[in-house]
Amino acid sequence: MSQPVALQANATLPWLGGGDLATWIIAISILVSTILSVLAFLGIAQGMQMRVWRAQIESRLRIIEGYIGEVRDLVLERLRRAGVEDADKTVDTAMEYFMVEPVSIEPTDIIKRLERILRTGEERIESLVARMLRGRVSWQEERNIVTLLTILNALNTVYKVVRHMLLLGVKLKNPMLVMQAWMLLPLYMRIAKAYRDAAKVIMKGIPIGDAAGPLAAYRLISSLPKLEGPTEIAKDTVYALLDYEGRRVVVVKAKGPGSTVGRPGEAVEKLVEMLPDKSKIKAIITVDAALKLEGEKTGSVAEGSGVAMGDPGPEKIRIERIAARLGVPLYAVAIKMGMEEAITAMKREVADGVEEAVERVRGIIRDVAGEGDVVIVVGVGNTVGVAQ
Amino acid sequence: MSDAWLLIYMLLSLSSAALAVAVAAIVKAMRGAGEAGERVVEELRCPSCGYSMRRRFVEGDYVGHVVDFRCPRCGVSMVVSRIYVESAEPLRVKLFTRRRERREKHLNP
Repeated sequence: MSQPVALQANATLPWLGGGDLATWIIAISILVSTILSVLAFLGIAQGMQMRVWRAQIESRLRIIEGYIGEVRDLVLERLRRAGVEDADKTVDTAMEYFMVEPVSIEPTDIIKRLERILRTGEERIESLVARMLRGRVSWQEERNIVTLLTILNALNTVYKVVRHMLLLGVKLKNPMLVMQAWMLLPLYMRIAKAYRDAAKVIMKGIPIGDAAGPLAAYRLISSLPKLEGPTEIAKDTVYALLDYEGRRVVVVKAKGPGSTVGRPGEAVEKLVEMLPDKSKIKAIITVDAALKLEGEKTGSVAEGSGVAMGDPGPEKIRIERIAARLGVPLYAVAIKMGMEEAITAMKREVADGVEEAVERVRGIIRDVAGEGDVVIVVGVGNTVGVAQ
Repeated sequence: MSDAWLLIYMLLSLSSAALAVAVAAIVKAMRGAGEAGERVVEELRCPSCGYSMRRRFVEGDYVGHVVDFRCPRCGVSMVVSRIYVESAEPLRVKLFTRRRERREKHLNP
């Protein structure tokens, strides 16, 4: 014959002494767990879990909102110092600026169309800033402000995406959508924090990890005898002609020390057109910061083939097309770093990696080119804090 | 008697919970102490004799900038050759962090 639950508990726990209070506590615990189990079957527990996720996402959204406020204040403060008082409307325009992808179902000329869209966006933000500042700050500071607005735009996008996923999940009462946002939250927070840190660094003009390519180019320009330049060849992009043990080395980089990536593809295209004897070009070497896989060492250097460039396509394809047309080998030198390291202040390990990358570039030049030959070296990346 | 025992059990459970929270807080604080601070430094190089030195980053400086500081050896204006962030030596509790550091270094050199 089975005994009541409370009595069973008393019987199995004689050390409780069979007191009334103990019996009640055990009975209430069993009752509560039974109710919770029933609630779990009815889906109410899932609803409670969704509330917990929602609260956690909302708290993180408030943090991202704080980051947006910080970066916005940085921009407005900088503009105020330059004498611009009513910048809110322009900052809002830049913050909400968007670009529409070109039609991809018909791929003909897609790169040209993409390039036009990207350049329109870039030029629009630049013209908004230029109209506000009217030459009251230096060229490099103007470029830094443009980059700050781009960061603000990216932060705002992260905020809106997370908020959208949360609100849609709540609206449709879909815990899977809320869970998806909750699970991706650590990644979004990493990205948001990195953007916030990047804004502070760019504001001060400190080189970021992505400046590894332009820094390598600078090291070459400053260490080899100069034959020509540095001269601007494309928008915000310069080149210098150097002599390396009888070889002619053309180094291309974005025009520093303002925050810009320049137009390296267009620059290489123009340079190749300018050269009278194209058969002398023995290699095109690109040096760029590359995202490392977790576990790889920051600042480690790797060699490869192809164009090391993280642009959406238009600049990279120009170099690839030239190389394919002329049959020139494409060498790539990558300096490894994490995503946060690429957009925040350059670490010492990366700066040391740049030295090694320069040595590798010299090695490739010695291996592939003889006296009188031409090698084009492109330092790819944002050149904030690095001149030429 | 039985109520007294129950009270003892409850007190024991509460104190073990409090102890767990305290240990967790101490471990967290020790991990925080193991994290390093960061400072931005710049390397200056003499273009004439190659003498180099480091100093704290000055806002407005950039790589390639000729600074208002003369080489102590030859008197030529020095140039900023590198700017980077480096970790300041952390104040750490070695007892618990050494093993963790070794393990993390193996995974993420």
